[in-house]
Amino acid sequence: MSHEVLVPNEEARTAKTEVEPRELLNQVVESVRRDSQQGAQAFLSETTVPHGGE
Amino acid sequence: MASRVTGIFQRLVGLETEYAIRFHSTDPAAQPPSKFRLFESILAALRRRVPTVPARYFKEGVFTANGGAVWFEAERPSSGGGLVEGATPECRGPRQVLTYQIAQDRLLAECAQASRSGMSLIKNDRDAADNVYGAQENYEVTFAAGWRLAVWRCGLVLLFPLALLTWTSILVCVLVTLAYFLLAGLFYIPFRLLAGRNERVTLLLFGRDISEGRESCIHLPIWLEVLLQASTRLVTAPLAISLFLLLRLVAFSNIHQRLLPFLVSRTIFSGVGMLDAAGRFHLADKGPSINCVFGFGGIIGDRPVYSLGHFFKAVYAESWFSPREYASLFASRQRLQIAIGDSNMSQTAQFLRVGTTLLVLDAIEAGFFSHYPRLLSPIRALRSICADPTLRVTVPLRREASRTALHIQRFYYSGCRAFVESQADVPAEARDVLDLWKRTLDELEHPSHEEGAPQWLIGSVDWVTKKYLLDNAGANSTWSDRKKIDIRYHELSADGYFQLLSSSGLSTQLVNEEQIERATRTPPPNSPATTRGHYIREFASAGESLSVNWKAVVIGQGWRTRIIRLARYGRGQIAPPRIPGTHRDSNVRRDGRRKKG
Repeated sequence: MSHEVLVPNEEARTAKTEVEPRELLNQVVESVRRDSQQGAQAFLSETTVPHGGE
Repeated sequence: MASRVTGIFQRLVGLETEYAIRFHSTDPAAQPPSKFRLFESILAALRRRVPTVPARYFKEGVFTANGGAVWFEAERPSSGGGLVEGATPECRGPRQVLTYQIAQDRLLAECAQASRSGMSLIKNDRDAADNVYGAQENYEVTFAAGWRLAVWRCGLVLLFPLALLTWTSILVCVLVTLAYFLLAGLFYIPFRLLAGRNERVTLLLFGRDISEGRESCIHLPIWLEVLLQASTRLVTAPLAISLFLLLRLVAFSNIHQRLLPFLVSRTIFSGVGMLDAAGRFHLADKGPSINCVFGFGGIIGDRPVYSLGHFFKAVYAESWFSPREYASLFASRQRLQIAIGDSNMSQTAQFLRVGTTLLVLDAIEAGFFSHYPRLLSPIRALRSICADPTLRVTVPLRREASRTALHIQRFYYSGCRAFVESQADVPAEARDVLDLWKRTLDELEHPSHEEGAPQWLIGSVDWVTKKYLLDNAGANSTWSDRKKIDIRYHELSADGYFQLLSSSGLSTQLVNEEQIERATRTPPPNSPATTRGHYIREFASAGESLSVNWKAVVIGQGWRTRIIRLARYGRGQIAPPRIPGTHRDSNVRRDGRRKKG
């Protein structure tokens, strides 16, 4: 069975969009702000890991 | 283990990541499933997606077809906690390990969401109660040479009787535990006949699993778990202390001092950002909790830069099952485990974190960095750097002026550039790392702002991205709202905040979807994972008894057991050999009998 060696792939580099990035960022920031103010206490409780890990 | 590896990006590297499990129930009155039960759901979904085999290890988990592993990690099972831990296969080069890390993140996240409604994984390092977990990096390096290697090997021989005594003590603890359950049973049966079922007594004597009739990985009552943990620490303490002192004397002596200032200052581009209980912002999740340079990794509350816990586990636990594990410690090349790093979301940050560390290690082992900035107090320096988002704080050095983390990083960048230029055969990937490293340092020093936002850094450096979100959380946001931003940034779902950025095209993708999909199912080439993954793909659903760990593949049962040592494979390995006596041998029928003729 042959293996394909993973090689750097120039096509894999997707440049950040130049199309209105500022507007996209503003939309994400607004979504995050609205979501963060809903059910924050419950979210923090649901994501607690007693005694942590390694 | 291979002899000294020369060149660039030739050493093996692997990442371990602990994911917190979030379960959001639509019925607030219902008791949520235990973390272990949620982990089992994820495993069931994982088995439907890719071939898996049971792990031959002392943790609950599986190995997957790409050669990586998934475990359930619980510091105190009886507390009901627990994490999903994913370990990538052994890779070579930052792009390869990035691809397998992303593949692991995607696969586990999809399995979590597919197995139960309301479940998702959080890829971070600290929860809202300041419990710490998260990421570890593993690099194959020269453990010791010359007299240090000789001292190490002599030390291992001298420690062996103590190891034997420790194993005997642990066996006694196990036998005492079994005797306890026998006596508890003998007491409980007449008690129940006379007094009827009593939940509290049952829970006290037997723990949740037996009393509630369900598997939750809580096999002991809480008090017994605490007692056993304390007893285990007591009986292993002489061995642990002796081993630690020996390791401090000889381990990684050529590397750890030269690498330390780089790791401490690396935080400025590899940190994921964290909001503490007082509302202050730090560059890193784990950095503020790091309290020592060397340690065993949490056993006595230590949070080290370099974790030596895997040596301790090899001596007191793994060697108990297989004496070969003890013999493997005599090798001159071992695993250097770095525990200071965070679980990055940005592909750029992940690529840089591993790529720069690999370059610095390659340069150090090639004889570069004979002179390097020596931190006067590494832990204090780390905390100072973490506490200053302006990156202007200076840290004191021995016999020279204090420097900023940026200055220290530029020193290592220049050294690595000189190392790369001195090499005849330089992979393009190494130049990619250097170019990206320089660009990142330049942007951190002089951010190219556009309308108030450090445009290039957002989506590239996690702490900058997270801080931007926090700074725009709104004047009315409470600490809980902001802490939700801190943690939900790391949620591996469409609702995760980094994922929102990524799906909007605001974060650079360094690997394509085809590469990621292939990495979920096939192992990397030229690695022990190549052979491990092959056997898993060939035998997982073939009816053969198969179990696997990092060092070996075990096929068959009883007298037909075959053990394939993976240390013999790696570079140049394309396909595993046929195993005589198994059904994969064309002369053997599926029922195990040899064909006639």
